[in-house]
Amino acid sequence: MDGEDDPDEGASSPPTGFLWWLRFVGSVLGRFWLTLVIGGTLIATLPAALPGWSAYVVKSGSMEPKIMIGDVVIVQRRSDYTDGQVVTFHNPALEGALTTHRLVSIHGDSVTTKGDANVSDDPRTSVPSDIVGLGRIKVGWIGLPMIWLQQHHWVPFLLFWLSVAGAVAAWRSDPELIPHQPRHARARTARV
Amino acid sequence: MSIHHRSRSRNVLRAGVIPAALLMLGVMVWQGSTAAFTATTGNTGNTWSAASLTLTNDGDVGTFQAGTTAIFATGGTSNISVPQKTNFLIPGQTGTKCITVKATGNVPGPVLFNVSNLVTTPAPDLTGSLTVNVQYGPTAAASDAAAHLACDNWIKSVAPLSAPASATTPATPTGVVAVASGVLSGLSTTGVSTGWTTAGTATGEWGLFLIQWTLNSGLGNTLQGGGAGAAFNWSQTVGT
Repeated sequence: MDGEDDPDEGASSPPTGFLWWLRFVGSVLGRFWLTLVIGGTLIATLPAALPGWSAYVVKSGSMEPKIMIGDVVIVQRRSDYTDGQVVTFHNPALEGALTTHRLVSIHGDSVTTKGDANVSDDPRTSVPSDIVGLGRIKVGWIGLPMIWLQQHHWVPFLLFWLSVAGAVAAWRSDPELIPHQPRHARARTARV
Repeated sequence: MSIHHRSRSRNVLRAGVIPAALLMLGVMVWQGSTAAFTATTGNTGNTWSAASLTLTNDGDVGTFQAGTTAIFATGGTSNISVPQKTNFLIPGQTGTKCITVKATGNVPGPVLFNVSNLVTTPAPDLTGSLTVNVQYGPTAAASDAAAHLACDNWIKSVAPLSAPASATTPATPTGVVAVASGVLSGLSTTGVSTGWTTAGTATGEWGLFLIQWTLNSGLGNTLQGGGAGAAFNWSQTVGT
């Protein structure tokens, strides 16, 4: 294979030593991580484009361990709800804030809710029109960078973006990456 | 020109890692969603907590505790004029105290009474010669202080000399129930009915217990220098 000695084909060099394999494994892991981050973001955001659906990042631990801080909860508006369901609602006790809790009871105009991690029911009852939707999809952790940004936790926030940048760099350092060639270069290769 | 060919297995890995990550993501989201929302609908968040029964008594001093200092004590040196002090007793002597018992449970239940920890020293044993009379008096008092005052007033109506200064208006509760009566050694050491069944009020409900003792008269010289002791207990049990 004379190509092995051709410096022009360096991007396609054969396996040589530990560093070569490190770059290869790194590139595979980089692809894996990028797919998780990008795919998770898409799953967490795209459903909210459907009519009646919306997505929220969970900011408190009142539903732990089932729903953790940084999870994205996607809810769908329903015409009726039943006891035991997890719903996102406008919390009358927290002006302007949305809360995701479990329905303890819903009778007529009185909606009693409670966080799984809380000992007692929420202090104020809601009305059915407060309910934004029924919990349908939970995407774990994907909202954590947003939480870190809001709460000014710069170290994990920067580490996350460094991991994304690192994954891109690792992916591009694949020793057998087929480089993108300009049109005239490919034409020249074809001529040979 | 021939170039180095990328190995087939490494290409499979390159191509497969993205769908593998997407599959893992899908499984994680699916499992997380069902665990958080679907599988729990309508039947989670069940909790059981045992009912609580709490009894305290004020030891005739107005402060409620699970265990209080003895109401009859042999402290001091000579105090025939103060019947609550129970040293140097002479036959026929008597004394009265009233204990307020407070129940703060959240389920209704009967309150039982018993004596325990009988002390028969110093010899000779006085437990067979000391008559103890325990009565229960209902009260509608709605506070610790009111119940304690009702207790003191009960003493004043029954045994004015034994009444503490805090007693104001002598009054015997209506519906008094005899709980235990007889010589100390003959009183039940297992719970007997007091006639009081609590309603289960978390903020508290009160029962008055008047305890009178008398060293029997007509005793011979053989009991000189003798002693007796006991603990008074109230208990409440609900369920099996």
